[in-house]
Amino acid sequence: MPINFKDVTDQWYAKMRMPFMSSLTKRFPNLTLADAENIYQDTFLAIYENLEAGRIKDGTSWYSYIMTIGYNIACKSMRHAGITDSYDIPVDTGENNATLDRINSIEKRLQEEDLTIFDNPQADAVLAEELTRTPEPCATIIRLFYYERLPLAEIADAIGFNSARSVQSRRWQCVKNLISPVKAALQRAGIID
Amino acid sequence: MKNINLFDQYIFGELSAEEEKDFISRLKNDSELAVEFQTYLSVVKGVCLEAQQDDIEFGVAMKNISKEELREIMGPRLRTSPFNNEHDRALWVPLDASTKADMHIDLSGWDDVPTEIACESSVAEDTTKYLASKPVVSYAEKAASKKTGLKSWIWQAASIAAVVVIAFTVVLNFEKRSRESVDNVIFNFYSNDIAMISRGGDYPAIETYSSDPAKAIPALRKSFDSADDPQEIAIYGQLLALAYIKEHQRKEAQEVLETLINRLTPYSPDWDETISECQTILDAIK
Repeated sequence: MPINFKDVTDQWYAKMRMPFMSSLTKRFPNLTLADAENIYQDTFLAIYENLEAGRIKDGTSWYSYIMTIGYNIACKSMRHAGITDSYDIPVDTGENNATLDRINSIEKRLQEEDLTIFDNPQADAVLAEELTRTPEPCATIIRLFYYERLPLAEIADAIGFNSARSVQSRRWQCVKNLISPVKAALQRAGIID
Repeated sequence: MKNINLFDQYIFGELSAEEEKDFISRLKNDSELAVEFQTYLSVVKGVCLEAQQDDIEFGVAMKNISKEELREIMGPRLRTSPFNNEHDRALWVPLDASTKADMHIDLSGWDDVPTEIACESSVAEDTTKYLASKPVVSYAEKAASKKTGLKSWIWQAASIAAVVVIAFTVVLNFEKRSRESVDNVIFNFYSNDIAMISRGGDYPAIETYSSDPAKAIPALRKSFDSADDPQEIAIYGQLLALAYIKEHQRKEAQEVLETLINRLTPYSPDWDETISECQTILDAIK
């Protein structure tokens, strides 16, 4: 099915708003909500312009990029320094790829040790089906923790939790709630015993 | 939970070489743990791959939309205020969900702002309230709401019309009930008197009238039309009018009373009192 570019952008704009606004107002307590909302818009415009100018690498983690651009704009606004033409992300950590790389190497090792229990497209289909059913805030917590590799305190800011500890216990619960149905679905499909 | 923590440490490379060796050994000996770990690994990998795919799609989407489309998605800019204005943050007026996010009243310079309004709340509290008050409506939803605009207008008009009809019905019903109450009062007030007056005379229709006035109407009508004596005209005429009133047939009662007055007028002044009484009933039911 072809991608509807406007819908994808719209979904991202809606999805990122809550963590962006929460994190920004937490980091800049003097920022008004109207200003935060406008900074959020400026961030997307800046990304648009940076993409047009070819200043963004392929494979960028957009969550980190959007947040960093937002912080930069907020800092400049707070200092009354005026708006510059572009906002560049200072460091591209590439942490998300590191997680995937690590998982791939573990999978390779499991194969070598003859510990692979299932590895087939049917299992991937079962998994994909279950992942789409992950409710919020679990989907965001799991994504930010495993893919973005954000510290728990930052995840707490993004999803409006009071502390890192509450995120930690919620994350355990979320992963457990995600693993159980996946395991059950794999058993139903006869992939595992 | 204990296992999840161990799995996390392993995939993030936080286990020592010894701990890692021990973990692999456990996976070999504990098939249940091995299944759990591989399920966990698949889930984490799935989440990461899905997120990576989302990132790619967003990058492609942003490259392929126009700036105008992006502005349309973002909506209008909010009115900004100077930074470092601490009052500003807390003064969001709790209006209805569709308008409150865009209404911002700057009361920072006002001396008479009540403390409960002007007091500062925590940033987290403000943000949560604000975000909850202004849910982002997706582009598809915005488009759908435009399409349903006419529909909602029709619904509003239909609702107003329904309210008007109901109110009108209530008023009419109330008026009808009032009229019926008046009829009953008139009937009860005059019936006994006329029955008393007629007692002792030979008035066959009156017996029927006493048991059921409605059934007596044809006989009373016949007697009233054929009567040539003022006494009979008065008694049959009044009873007929009252029978109609009892049945809430005011028009017929009115016609009978007018005829009665006309037919008794030649016998004035002897029948003036009856004429006056008929006129009073006539005025009451008009």
